[in-house]
Amino acid sequence: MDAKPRRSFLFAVGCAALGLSAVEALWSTFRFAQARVSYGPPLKWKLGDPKSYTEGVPIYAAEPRVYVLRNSAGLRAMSASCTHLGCTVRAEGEGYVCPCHGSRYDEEGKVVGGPAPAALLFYRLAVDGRGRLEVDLGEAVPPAEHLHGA
Amino acid sequence: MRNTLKNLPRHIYASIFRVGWPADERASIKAMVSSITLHIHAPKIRPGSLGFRASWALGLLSVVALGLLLLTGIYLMFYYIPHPDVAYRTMKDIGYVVPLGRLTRDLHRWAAHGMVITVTLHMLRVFLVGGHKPPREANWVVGVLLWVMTLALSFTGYLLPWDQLAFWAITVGSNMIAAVPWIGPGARELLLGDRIVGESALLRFYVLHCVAIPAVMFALVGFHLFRVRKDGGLIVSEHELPHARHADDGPKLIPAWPHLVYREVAVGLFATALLLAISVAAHAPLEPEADPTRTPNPAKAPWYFLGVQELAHYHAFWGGVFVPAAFVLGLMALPYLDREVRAPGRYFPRERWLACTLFVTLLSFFAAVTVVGTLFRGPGWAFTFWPY
Repeated sequence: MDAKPRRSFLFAVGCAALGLSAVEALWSTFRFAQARVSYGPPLKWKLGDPKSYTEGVPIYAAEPRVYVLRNSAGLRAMSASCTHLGCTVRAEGEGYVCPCHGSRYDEEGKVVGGPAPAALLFYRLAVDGRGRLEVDLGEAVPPAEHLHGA
Repeated sequence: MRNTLKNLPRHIYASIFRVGWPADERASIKAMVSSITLHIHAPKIRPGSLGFRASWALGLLSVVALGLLLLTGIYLMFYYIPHPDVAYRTMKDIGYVVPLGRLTRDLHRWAAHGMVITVTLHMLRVFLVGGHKPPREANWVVGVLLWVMTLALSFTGYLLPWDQLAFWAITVGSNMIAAVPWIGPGARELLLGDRIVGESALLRFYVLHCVAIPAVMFALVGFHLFRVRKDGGLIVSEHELPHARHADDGPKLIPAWPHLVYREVAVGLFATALLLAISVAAHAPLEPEADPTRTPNPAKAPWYFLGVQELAHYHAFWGGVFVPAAFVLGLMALPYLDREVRAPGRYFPRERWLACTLFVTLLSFFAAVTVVGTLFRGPGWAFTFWPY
């Protein structure tokens, strides 16, 4: 190779160019696969008349997969999606149980057993212009945040 | 041969098969060498590689299963539509309306399960006889990749029926990916094409299952088979190898046609008949249509992923991702870490008792968690010793 420095230089340049284009092709594939449009369900869901959610028993809204809880401070929407692997938790006794791997949560959504790494999420609740309750799955809020006077 | 109309059939036959049906050893070797399909084998082989116990035919059975999966898979694609609105209905049509549709689907399902079993046992067999040692290191790595792709095909195929099992198995599986630190959530969205398992995920899994993974798989199978031959065929006991001290005393090489080819056809026919019989006797299950609002209890993945699900039950990342990934990477690194080079051509040889014991223990561990996940986990993934 030493005898032909120009040839080995050009060979190295060629290899580098091929390598670069391979990286570029991989990067393009990666970018192509990133979906820009969602065909899935929306993030905001109407939950009807806020008055229909009474104190005591949590009421399950199936499509957004949230439990609507009311106490003296107001309304909250707690996610029913287990923080472990995303199965739907069901109300059982005072708390919630996940059917997939047995995670257990208390009535406030805090983990009391099983493999779940974190407490259940709470989502932003609002009342829209026509007086209907609305949950926004795109916005998580602290568990202490209640919707007052609805 | 004169180019007359009377000679046309013979002319066509001779233009395709240069060598006629082999009558003697010389002709059989000519036939093996002149055909692209037959030349996948060496024209002459060691008699020791013919015995059933030399390979238990596990590699061949895997290839037969793959062939059946390709055939039945293409048939199913004529009716199946990968969209959440209609996917489940087309599955019902395949089961109840399409002539022989249910048999086709059952064959596809049981061949897939069979392939997972044979590929896994093939890997165990090859390790126990030392088939990962030089010169077969690279082919061992390709074999591990083929095992992973077999599981990836199963995983992507499981979503397609769009029943409850499909939806929740993939929801759980994709959330395991999301449990990987840093890149997990992004990788999950890349796979699903959306926030949750839906229209985009079904289409992506369909394309991966029917096109992308099979394409890579067939290329790798070709490489794998080529290298099996180039690396010296099956491992046989040492006295059969050419460098053995008394090479002249050992058995002579024998022609692959008919000894090997006929055996392969027989095994292939037997496996096909067996799978057909199973498909007639037992049907692939189809649960109620996927319902994202209702998780079945317990929600279980297909049986060969229940080991991973059992581990994920302890911790989503460490159990569900780290241990399986470390296992696969460890398998690939194995031939380069194993310092004992000789493969004496026996199962579980005394020289390799530690390696073989460790490997069997490791596979037994995965088999054990799979059994626990399959049989001893009831509602809420609670341990139930006798749920029946």
